Amino acid sequence: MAEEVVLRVDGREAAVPAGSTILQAAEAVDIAIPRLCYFPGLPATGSCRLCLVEVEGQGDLVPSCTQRVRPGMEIRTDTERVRDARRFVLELLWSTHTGDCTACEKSGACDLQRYTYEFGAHKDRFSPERAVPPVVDSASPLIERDSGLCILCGRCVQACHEQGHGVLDFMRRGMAMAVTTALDRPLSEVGCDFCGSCIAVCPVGALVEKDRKGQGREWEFISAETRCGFCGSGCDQVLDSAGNGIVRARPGDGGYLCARGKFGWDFLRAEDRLRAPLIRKQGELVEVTWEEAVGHVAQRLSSLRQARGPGAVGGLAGGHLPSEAQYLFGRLFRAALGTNNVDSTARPATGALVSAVVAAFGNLAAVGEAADMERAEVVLVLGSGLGESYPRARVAAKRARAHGAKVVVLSSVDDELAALADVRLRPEPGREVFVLDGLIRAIVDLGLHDQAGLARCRDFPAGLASVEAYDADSGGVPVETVAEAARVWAAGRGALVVGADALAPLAARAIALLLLTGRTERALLPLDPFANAWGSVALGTWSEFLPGPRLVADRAARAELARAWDTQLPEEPGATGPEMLRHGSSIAGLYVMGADPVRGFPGAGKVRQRLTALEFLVVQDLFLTETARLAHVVLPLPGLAEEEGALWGPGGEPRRLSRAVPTPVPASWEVVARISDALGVRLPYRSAGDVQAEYQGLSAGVPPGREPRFPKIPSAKTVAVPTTTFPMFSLPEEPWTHRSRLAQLATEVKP
Amino acid sequence: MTAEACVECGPARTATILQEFAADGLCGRCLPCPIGVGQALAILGRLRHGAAQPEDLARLALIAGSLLETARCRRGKEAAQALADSLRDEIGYAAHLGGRCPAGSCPELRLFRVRAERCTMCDRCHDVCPRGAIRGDPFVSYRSDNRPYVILEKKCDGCGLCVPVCPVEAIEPV
Repeated sequence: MAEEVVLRVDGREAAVPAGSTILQAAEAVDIAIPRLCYFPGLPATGSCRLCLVEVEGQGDLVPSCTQRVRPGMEIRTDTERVRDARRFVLELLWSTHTGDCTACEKSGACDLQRYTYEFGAHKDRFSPERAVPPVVDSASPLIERDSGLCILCGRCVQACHEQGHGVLDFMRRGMAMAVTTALDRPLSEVGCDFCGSCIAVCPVGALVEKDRKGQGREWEFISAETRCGFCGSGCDQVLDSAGNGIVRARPGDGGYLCARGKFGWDFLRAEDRLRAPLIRKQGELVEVTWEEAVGHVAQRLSSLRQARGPGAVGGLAGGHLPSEAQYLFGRLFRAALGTNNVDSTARPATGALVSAVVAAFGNLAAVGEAADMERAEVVLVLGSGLGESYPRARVAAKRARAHGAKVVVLSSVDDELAALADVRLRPEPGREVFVLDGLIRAIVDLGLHDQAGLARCRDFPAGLASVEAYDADSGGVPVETVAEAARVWAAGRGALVVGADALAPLAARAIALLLLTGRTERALLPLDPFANAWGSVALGTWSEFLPGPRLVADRAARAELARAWDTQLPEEPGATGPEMLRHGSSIAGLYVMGADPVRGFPGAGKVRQRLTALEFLVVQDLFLTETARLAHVVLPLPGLAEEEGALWGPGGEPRRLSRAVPTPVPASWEVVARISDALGVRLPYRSAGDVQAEYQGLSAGVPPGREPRFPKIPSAKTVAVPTTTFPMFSLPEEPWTHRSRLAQLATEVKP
Repeated sequence: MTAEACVECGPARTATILQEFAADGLCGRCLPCPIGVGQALAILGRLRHGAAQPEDLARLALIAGSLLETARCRRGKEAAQALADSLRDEIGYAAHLGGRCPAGSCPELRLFRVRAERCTMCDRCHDVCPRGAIRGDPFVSYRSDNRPYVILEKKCDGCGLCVPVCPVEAIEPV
């Protein structure tokens, strides 16, 4: 705990940590100081002069956003002198601001408007003067920038440097200074990735979402806090809606959304969304009632089960479904249909890493999320293209660096994260594993490993024996660089970032690197393509995991869960998703929920053949996907923004979802519960909260982790690590992502 | 001309100081300078063109005082101080508001007249006047209907080209 400083602000005593600013001290005692350029979380520049305050004994007014507190300071924030100065600045701003509040999108949420009212400033005090004529950039389909409304506060410049690509900056100087792009070119031509961070911080209407124009005034919006479902980062997202549906998305507590989260929600209002269930009658999919569809699904699944045994039915759930649906989907198959043939589409991506983590630790406590990365003192990134695929990770690395963290990046290409690296390991493509072996060896050879921790670790040092000696020829990275990386990685609070699609050889080495340096809690940060991949693991949607996660093979776990569910649980191992979709599997009836295996699984032709051959296929999705076209029954699915419930972060923290827009489609968990009801296993939940309470109770009963086990490390010679890079605008293979404006943008933005 | 040379035109001098500041020291890293100095220059320009409104003087005073309070650095405060000092010449500023530049530094506010008792009606001034603002008939022996030379206020833009060409120094500022 930092030492405290006591001072007085407007007569109130404030005690704040040393190093705080006057503005923070004032906020601590509920005194709001007006500000235009300062934004919490961004570096203070003290340029707008609106936060000026009087300090006893000091002649000049001081900017409270940059001035640090000293013991015994007497601050006055609201004297006539201060108000005069602020009014002057506001009146000056009005001489360059070309805005018309009556027609401005930002009206009602505009800081200039608000402070003008608060301080009684006259917008016509000075006559309009602009050194530079205003420019409107509306070339991109997403962001509109009107420099006539810009008040030069520089927040967007800070935000763009902090979490974007630094495309906005102050250009020229003196009276001609303006916030703009290089050579005033449109945003879509200067490398902007359209994260919209600039819009989120703009105090006026100079930067707005193009799409929201004319859709409603600020005071009409109803906000819902939810989570973006485009990737496993699951960023906080606030969706504002007005009469006609969602108007815009903005970042929540995490302070960041990428272009997908900021602008990609518009698939929700696509014309071709499924709204009613469909059943195939005489070869055609025709609309039916929910009762008929649910009854039909239950009847067909149970008759297949009776005729062919429980092994004939199976389920495949999307890795982005909310936790409640994940939990009930597993329960539907295990309890109501008596089979372990249930799996998640997250497996092909996350499978190897999950198995490695569970094998090493027995639970998921070693897994953390982006916030842990921001707090880390050293960040080790293993893999290529991770920053491009998961922009939240890039921002977390930037934020970590901003407070002094060192970043080590092992990537065979010069990607966005590599650009942030303090120590850069650049192996030849496919030789990453050799360099990792070198890193592991270097940690041990230099004596940097956590000997006390490793003494408690099973299979150590046996596991280490298979790690080969490293020389620069085998990986293409100089031995000294590897040693330096080892030294940097070994010290301080660490975060190891790895794509969740890491294959077994990489996963084993990642875990070895954690164990060697004694990081066993919230230190492994998997970057996942699916929003709820770790929920699907923890809530029992994977064939081998019961909620917890606990293994199906674990007799005690099975018995405990059978008591909680008041049923019998099948013992024989279930088929995984790829097994169910493989030629010759025993599955005759398949329920695919929120997944499009024809597009999403490797071998589309084989998968299509297999699905066509099924006796009964139910597909539940937002759109009539390729897979849904093959189905006997198609059920509509709501989007994440239309659901109550939660996602499950990699570290096990719930990520709340609240409904932003009403939908005629019932909640995903509800459909599963009704099918279970129809199968004779009553699931009498009234809300997503009931389901949540139940699975939280179950996961609380999971026994704590055991002594970690050092991974068995496969030989580096036998493997190659694939380099997966999908840039920002090539979206994951989900049908809904292609219904968004981002798809349009992808064709316009120059790489 | 000697008497006038001691009087300095406040708006002209201040405009020069602020223009130099804008071209050199003005960084734009805090908001009051770039906007406030721009405003001040615009107002000074209006004063020097005889287009200023009565409230412009109050605006200048506000800029001078408040820029001193709000500018971040010494250079900004110095510019504000220069403006404030200049504004102490209330008579000079009031004269500009009335359309006159006592120092004769603001071309558009300068007025000249022809002292008839000195004028030899040589017509040289009429020749050089770019705006045709000088009216008069040249001297012709034995004629008495020739008009005396006068400068037409409405046409004169105060360029002063006529002053040096007069061989007898008959043209002088008002």
